[in-house]
Amino acid sequence: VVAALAERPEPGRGAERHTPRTRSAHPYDVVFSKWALALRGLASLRCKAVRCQVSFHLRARSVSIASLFFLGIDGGCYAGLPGSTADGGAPEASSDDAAHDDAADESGDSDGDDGSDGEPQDCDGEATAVAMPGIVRLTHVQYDHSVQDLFGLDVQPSAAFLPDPAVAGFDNNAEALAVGDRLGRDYRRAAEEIAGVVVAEPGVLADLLPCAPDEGDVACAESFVVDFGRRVFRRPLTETEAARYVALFSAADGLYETGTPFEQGIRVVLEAMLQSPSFLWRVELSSDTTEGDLAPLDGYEIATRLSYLLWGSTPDEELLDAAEAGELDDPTGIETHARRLLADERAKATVRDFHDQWLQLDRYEDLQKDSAAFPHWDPATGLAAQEETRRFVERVVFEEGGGYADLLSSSSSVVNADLAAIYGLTGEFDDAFVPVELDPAARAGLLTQVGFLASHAFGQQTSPIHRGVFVHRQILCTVIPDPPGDIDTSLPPLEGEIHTTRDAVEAHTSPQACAGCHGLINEPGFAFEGYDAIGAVRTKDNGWPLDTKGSIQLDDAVVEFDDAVGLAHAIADSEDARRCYLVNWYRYANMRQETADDACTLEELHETLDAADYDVQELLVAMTQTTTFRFRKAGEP
Amino acid sequence: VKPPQTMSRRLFLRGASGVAIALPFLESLAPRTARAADPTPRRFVAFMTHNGVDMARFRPTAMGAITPATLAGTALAPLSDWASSMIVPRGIHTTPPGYTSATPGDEHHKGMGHRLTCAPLDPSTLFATGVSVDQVIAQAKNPAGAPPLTLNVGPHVDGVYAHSSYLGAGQPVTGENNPWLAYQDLMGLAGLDDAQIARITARRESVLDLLEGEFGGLSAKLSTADKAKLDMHLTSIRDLELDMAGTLVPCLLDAKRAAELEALDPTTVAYDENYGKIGRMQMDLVALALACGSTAVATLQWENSVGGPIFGWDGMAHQYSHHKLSHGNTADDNSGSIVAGYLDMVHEIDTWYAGELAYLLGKLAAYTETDGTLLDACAVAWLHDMSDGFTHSYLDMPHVLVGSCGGYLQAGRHVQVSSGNPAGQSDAGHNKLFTTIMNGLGMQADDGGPVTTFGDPLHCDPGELDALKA
Repeated sequence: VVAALAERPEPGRGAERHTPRTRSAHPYDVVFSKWALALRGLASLRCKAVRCQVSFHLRARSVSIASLFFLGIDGGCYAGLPGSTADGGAPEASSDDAAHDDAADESGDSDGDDGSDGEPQDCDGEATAVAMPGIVRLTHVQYDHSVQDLFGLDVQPSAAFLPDPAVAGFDNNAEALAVGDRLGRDYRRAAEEIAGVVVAEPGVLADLLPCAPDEGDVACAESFVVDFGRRVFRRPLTETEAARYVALFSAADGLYETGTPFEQGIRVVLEAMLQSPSFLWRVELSSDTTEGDLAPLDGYEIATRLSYLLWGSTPDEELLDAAEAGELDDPTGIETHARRLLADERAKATVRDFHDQWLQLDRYEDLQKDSAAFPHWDPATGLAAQEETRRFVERVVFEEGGGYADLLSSSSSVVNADLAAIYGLTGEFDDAFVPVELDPAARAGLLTQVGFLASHAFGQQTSPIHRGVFVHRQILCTVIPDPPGDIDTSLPPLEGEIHTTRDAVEAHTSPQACAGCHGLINEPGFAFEGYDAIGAVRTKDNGWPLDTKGSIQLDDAVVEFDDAVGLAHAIADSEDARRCYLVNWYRYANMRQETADDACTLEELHETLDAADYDVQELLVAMTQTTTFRFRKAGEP
Repeated sequence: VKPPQTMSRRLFLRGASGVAIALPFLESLAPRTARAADPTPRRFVAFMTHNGVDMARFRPTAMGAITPATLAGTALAPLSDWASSMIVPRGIHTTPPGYTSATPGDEHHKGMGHRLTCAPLDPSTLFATGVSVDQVIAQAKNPAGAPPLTLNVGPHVDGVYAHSSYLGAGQPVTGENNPWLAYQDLMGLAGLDDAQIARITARRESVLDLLEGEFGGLSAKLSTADKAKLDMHLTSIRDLELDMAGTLVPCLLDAKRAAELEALDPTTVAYDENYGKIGRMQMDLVALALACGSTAVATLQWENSVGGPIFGWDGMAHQYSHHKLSHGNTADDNSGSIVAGYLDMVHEIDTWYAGELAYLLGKLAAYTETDGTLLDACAVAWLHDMSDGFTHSYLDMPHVLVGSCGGYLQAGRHVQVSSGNPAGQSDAGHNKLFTTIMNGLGMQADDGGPVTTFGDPLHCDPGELDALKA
């Protein structure tokens, strides 16, 4: 008996930056491994079933408790199939599942740390704030951007850092960000290197200084500490703090082999500032709760939230000045600056980072395909597909002022020659990416782009299950539990009565025990059968006609579709899908999982955004207007 | 086990910078008496690979004396030069046990998490619930409680599959996969002149003094949970004062090798194409760290359980990752066809790793110490996550030991660890391997006697593997 095995899950998100291009780990391994979750027992399935209920917006989309209970009792969709145990009585661990945390998180279930405990709850009252940690470590991306903006250096120190942990699909979870293991060492090393570069590179230091050092070293250093310290700490230094740095400056002569006493003093000051908790942690201490249990954040705290939300970076002088002038103390002032930040080039990085993580674009990297079936595919094609999706999103959001529906339904895209060939475009293309219009009858938005289709497929064959699971989990926020571990995930071969991949999936998931999940998963997956394993349009599968028809439950109604384009348009028009997009942004923007107390905020945001066609820039502005963005709640999260 | 040597870390640094420095850095603080009594400290290295092996062709072809002839044709053939230094123990099973046990995790989880801890996994995180043997050894044997050297080859991955070393229950240590960063830690201030050392020490101390003021001020304003987070941060930077500086000789590679490490691109150290190159750099560092006395224990973890790489060098041209080959299937979901000759490929991988281990042994043997070579003072253990990869077995683990640990072990034998059982029968938990090694290293139990236990008592019987001892 062949052991049921998942292949190696890909590394966690941070690690994927280091993933070798030559790895065999296909992106769909990740999905696969999630399907082969370790057998964690009935208790965990029950736990998930309970979690299904928690978030108001997800409740309608959850697998029913009854079906989950059934799954737990019965061993899941795959119970009783040949191969579910193997190897002479040794139950085969079909659960090669390093990604289990990630998988669980994606199902809206993390190990009790997502803050979403509580009773199922719709909005019943007023939008409020949810408690956050008083200190939140910069993510590595935020660290890099901050250093780049502070010093004007094109450096990426975090390439050598221990990676950030990923929680619930995003790597910026406030609770999970800590400084342990070797990260303190990494920070010191980066601080020493950056400080060395700043004083050694001609012009870099001069650009930072508010004065010429020959005006009197200490006086100039004092003004540097006060001015630049405000940039680094994102608030004015206290007198005590400033005095400490000036004292450090003054005692620095001889600490380095090279440099003038002034340069040495600045250098050691920078080493310290870059290791300061006031730089590495976003600190929010506002605690004036005279009006109920909500304390308004002060202007600098708002400025910091704004810039890290919209730029992934530290506030600029203008934003700090606005904080000082009290311009950020009311929603209107915040909106003004939010719009200013959104108009800046740096905002593109945040929009890109969110969509990278939500759409799991790292799966498009290192994609290998069967070279006999797809001789023109190479891993560079996957990278091109990633670039396509990034440029598509950027174009929709920033150039077209588009909204959610456009992301899911636009037939325009941005392609190079590799992709043009897959899309069947005629004309002259080369390595450059150019805007194109695709056939609207064949393509509609993100889900019909090469990247998604190719990364949710095997080397030769498509994978309707992976595609269907993605639609449910990422696009619709349907809570679908991972199956039990002791399953055989092998599809039957295409022979006999089984002509197509659809036939194989239907046969494999036909047992009653599978119906709870696969009744949801399969049909949206089959919609994409009109595209092969690299995302090209096809009309036959294995020489047999395709069946891409199906139905899906959207907004409490069963929606029929003929194919993926029909499905994509249905999703684009679906309230469930819009809410899911919002919730993903909400997690990312607030650096935490939503809780029952967020119900009213989410409801208000949804209404606001529905009135604005779910324009993505408006969505970001709206995030800055919420109570939970502007206030701190007393108590610990 | 004795509690770790304690010393005010602050004092440690002040001592280093406060004395009139005429000695190599930190020598003034080195435990001289220990050195005098133990001129050749004994060391432990764990060399760890994953996804099991091709058991049929792994071990010597006969029990008893290991010779080049009994290694011929096996995966261990590249170790022929070290035949007389090797011990191939038979009849050791991983404990807590694998699939017959109700403890949490799948076979790969258990193979990783149990390997250095002998403790079951936490049901929710799947991380091990105990401290790992390398950390225990480091606490007992390292100067000033310095940490063990913990190195990886390959990508950083979250979760139990990618972690071997544990500071304690649920506290995995991520191995450093960048040799240049590891070397900088190891090097510390070695090779610098006194004035340079004084400058670096003085400025780091100045910075730390300032930071401690800032941390203290901030901490006072925080909630309990936030305070704990900030304390962890401060502790980690205080620990930086314990750079793993050498206590025997300066921890320096030759300049050419050092330059090669420095030239590494941090974004590509985990690439498959660099696997062998990075591995050898890491092994150079393992040997250096042990030789210079910065640590008595080092772990080198190659890739991860359920991992790769795709071997495409040294005569191998595999299309599938190591883990895929361990199950012999072309498709990621095992729905493809059997890979023709997959066991041969697994055997090639096993043999390749044996060659890399031979490289490490060569490096260790190249350091001469008072009573022989560094290798003589070592117990090097090649430890696996499972025996047969296809079936995920935890029985009759194909571990290999090299070195006599200063004469404590009787090398050169393919030996059943306990008499009375047919070869291959599992009869000893692998925790006893560690108690044996800890005694080889000269460690003591709390009562001053030999170490008798390691690991979770529910799953670990006391005792050593007497059959391994000289």
